[in-house]
Amino acid sequence: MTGDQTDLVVARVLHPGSGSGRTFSIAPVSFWGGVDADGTVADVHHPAHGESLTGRALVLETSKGSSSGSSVLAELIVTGQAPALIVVSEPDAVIVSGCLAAAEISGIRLPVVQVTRGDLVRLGETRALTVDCAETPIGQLTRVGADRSP
Amino acid sequence: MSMMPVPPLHLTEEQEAQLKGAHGPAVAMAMRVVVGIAQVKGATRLIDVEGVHIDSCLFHGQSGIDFVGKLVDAGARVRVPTTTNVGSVNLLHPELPARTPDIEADGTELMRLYGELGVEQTWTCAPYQLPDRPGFGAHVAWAESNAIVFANSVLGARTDRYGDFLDVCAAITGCAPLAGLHLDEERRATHHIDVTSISIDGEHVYPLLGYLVGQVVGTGVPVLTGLAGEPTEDDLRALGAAAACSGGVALFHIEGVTPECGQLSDVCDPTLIPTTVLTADDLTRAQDELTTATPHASVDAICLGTPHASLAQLRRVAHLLRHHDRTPRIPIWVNTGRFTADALAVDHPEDHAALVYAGVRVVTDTCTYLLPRLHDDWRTVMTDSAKWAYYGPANVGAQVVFASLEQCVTAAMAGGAGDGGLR
Repeated sequence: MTGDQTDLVVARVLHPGSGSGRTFSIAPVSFWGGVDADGTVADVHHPAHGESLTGRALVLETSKGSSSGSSVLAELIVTGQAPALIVVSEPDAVIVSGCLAAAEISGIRLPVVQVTRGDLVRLGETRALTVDCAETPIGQLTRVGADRSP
Repeated sequence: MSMMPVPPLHLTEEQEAQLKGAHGPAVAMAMRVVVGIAQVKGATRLIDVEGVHIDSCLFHGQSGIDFVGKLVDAGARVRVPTTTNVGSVNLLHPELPARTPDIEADGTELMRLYGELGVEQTWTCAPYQLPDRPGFGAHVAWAESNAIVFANSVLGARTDRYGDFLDVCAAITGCAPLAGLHLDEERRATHHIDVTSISIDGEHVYPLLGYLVGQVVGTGVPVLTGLAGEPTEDDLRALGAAAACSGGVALFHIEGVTPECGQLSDVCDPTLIPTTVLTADDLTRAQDELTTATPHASVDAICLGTPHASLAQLRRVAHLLRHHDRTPRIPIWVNTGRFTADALAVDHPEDHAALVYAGVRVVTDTCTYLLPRLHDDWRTVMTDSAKWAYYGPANVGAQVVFASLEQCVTAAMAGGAGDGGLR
């Protein structure tokens, strides 16, 4: 990422980890019943139906729907098909439960950070995002690197 | 506005000891997850829970087996009364095919491992139908979105919207983060939904209302006013189950109906929250969105009981079937809990006989939309469940016709075209 087009946005760590990926901003989705085992949005009612989440910097307010979303996300993490990082604006326990479980059994840590609603909209319009908060405890602050180049 | 760090989490000596491994590695692992979620939620302490409902027993991949397997290997046992949600396999009727032979084996193994933890093996998504359900104000940790919204809204018990894994960890530690819907202030309404102009001309209106409410409020807390009908518990849970899947609703209030909302001002200052007026046009739109099948598509099966049918619903199916003196032309499938199926057979043998005579397939322990091999020949399914209609297309690839229970039974008898359900 080039320096003058990269902003740093303050975020709260919801699950520690490091990652970067191309930005993909979507409406709230249920991981269970809404995302396939290969990381594709399967919810026929969802605007991002058919798109892959794998390796992306996923930006969404929150997940929704089934509690089983945690299990689906944990499986995506362990099989290497999860997003590279997740940015939310609500403290989403369904997403983080999946991350905590995956870390307990595999050591793979998917970074999840929370930003303000305003920053969520702004981050959703960027090209790519990076977080490096592998050593930051849950609830403490970090920064999201946002590549705003076209 | 900018992000701030969360306040510090204070643990009791006992909780600290659990975290540090004084009660063994299984309790420490479970406590790490509970503490992690507490910090996500910004909780300053944990609370004891009276009971837990575990959703993690439904198979989604090897990671689920590995997680509970690690707990079981370390000697974990639940500390509080704990029930289990549906699994991927009908343990009582193994002849019903799971999604694949692998899922059959893995799903069974996952359910066996949860059984090792000392849980009550209920295998139902409707734990609120069991005799020992939480009382008003009781703190519990429930997963399964329809059970969460029912516990909070209809029983007035308190559970946050927990995901898988936190549920079993709360059961092993006996505690959960004091956050979210455990707190008075989080139970206040965020959206006012005025349904005065909706006429309740059948039980199917409740799931449609729930579907619309979820779309409007997302994960917020709605309060409905102007509801003309007198909803039963089954109506309220159909509303809640639909709102939990179209949005992420974990608590709703209805003025004069639900236990925390005698009047609107009990749950909000209506001048401070947005008001949405729902109309008959919205109901029609909801019906259209939930019906993915083309008009006049031939219906191949009827799926009822999502969430698991109550005793009253099973009896109503029997009652409707008795109106016809022959058997259905289209197979009817009903999901229910083991205990409900037993209660029907023991306490209401005439109703049980009506279901048997009609060839109704009763599924326990799981749900028809989790058994896709059932659906190899089913292109179109008619259901009275907004939840089935919402998840069915992605889960099993079937097209859906949403209809009232009465229309479902009528269609089963008539065979052939579903006439687009309620259209």
